[in-house]
Amino acid sequence: MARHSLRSLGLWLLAAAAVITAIALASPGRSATDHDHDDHPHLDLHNGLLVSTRTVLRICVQPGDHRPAIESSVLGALDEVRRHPYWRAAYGRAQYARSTVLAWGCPAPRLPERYEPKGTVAGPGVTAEPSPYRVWLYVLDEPTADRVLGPDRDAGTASAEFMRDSAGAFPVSTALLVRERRLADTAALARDLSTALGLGTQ
Amino acid sequence: MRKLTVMLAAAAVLVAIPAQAAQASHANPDPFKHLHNMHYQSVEQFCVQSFDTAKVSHSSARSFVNQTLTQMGSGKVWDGLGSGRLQLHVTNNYCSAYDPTTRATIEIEVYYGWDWSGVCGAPVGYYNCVVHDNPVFDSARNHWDARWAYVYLVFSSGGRLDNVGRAFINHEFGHVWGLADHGVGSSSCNPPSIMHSTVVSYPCTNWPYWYPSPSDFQSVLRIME
Repeated sequence: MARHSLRSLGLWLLAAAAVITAIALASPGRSATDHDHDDHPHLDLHNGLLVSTRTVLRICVQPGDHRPAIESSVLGALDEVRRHPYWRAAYGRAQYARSTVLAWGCPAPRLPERYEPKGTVAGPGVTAEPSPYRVWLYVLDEPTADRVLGPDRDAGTASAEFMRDSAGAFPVSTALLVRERRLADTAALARDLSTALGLGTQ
Repeated sequence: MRKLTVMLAAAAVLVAIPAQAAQASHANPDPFKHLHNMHYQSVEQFCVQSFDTAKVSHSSARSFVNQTLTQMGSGKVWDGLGSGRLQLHVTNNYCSAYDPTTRATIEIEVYYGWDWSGVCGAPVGYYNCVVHDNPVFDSARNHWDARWAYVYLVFSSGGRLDNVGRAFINHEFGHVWGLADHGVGSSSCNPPSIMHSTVVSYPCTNWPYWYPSPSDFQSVLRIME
């Protein structure tokens, strides 16, 4: 009798657990793990793109109108970044095409009032559907750079997008705020982009 | 049918159990979000800040967190784990007292407040959580981790200055080191863990203490490697 009761209880608990799982998985915004569905974006810490659904390195540029001078500077700096000793290990799985790496205009640009090296968010923040862009590049004119970065700073990185799970959040897109005149210095811009891409400087 | 109704009612009750530490955990099978410095023999500095100093002063919060993490005795604190790979040092002042450049050298910030639902999720005043920041590539391990972590504690649970508060601090620091939440619907309570204990409002009764379990320490050691 006792055994039978225990078996019934075990089955009951299993069934209840299945129902709980079904309810929990059906609830929006509270996924059981980061890996529920392969077609759903989840955090991927083995891939520099950081989101499972990203396959191509893409960088959005703000302001969004196509500017050949900016394009040329950034592509030149990216050529240097790709010679970073960690590039292959960090981004080797990601496709890279010089012709499509830059996109003009970020999906929800948001500049901070004032940049600080820590804790600044320059973008939408927490999102369940991160953009395709690993880096959000904000090119700032002089008055805006003076206001946001301060007169003594030419560039800074911040988080643009976070993905949240049950334990907290992790950034999946990095914002790079750059004073426009910085674009003339390819080596400096390459260092900034390396930092934004999580490679550090050489 | 009656059984199904009972099961659904029971399931609803279980789902409604408070989960104030943003859900429970085990060790991660995979490199999970964790602090970069924990892999190396370097100091992890942390600062502590209260967002309502009338409720808890900066110095009370600082003293309590430091005591919990470093002074409660061997086998009960995260400090010193991994032959010193975790070397937790509290800063002399609260976080925002530092200039931005100095603050950027502090790996972990701990915040006390009434409500972090904008960061940790609804409902208001309920969840504690950890946000990692500044992702960086670890070339030795071929994975990505984070240079900084922010620990958000609510006054109703993690921000209490008692053993409940200590349990939540240890739980959230488990997340800082990469211990994952267990997953909704998972039924295993083994190994015993501060990450799914009843003391942090989870259902597992086999670790009724405020400090990390031996398996928690082992799990973090594995992540450090």
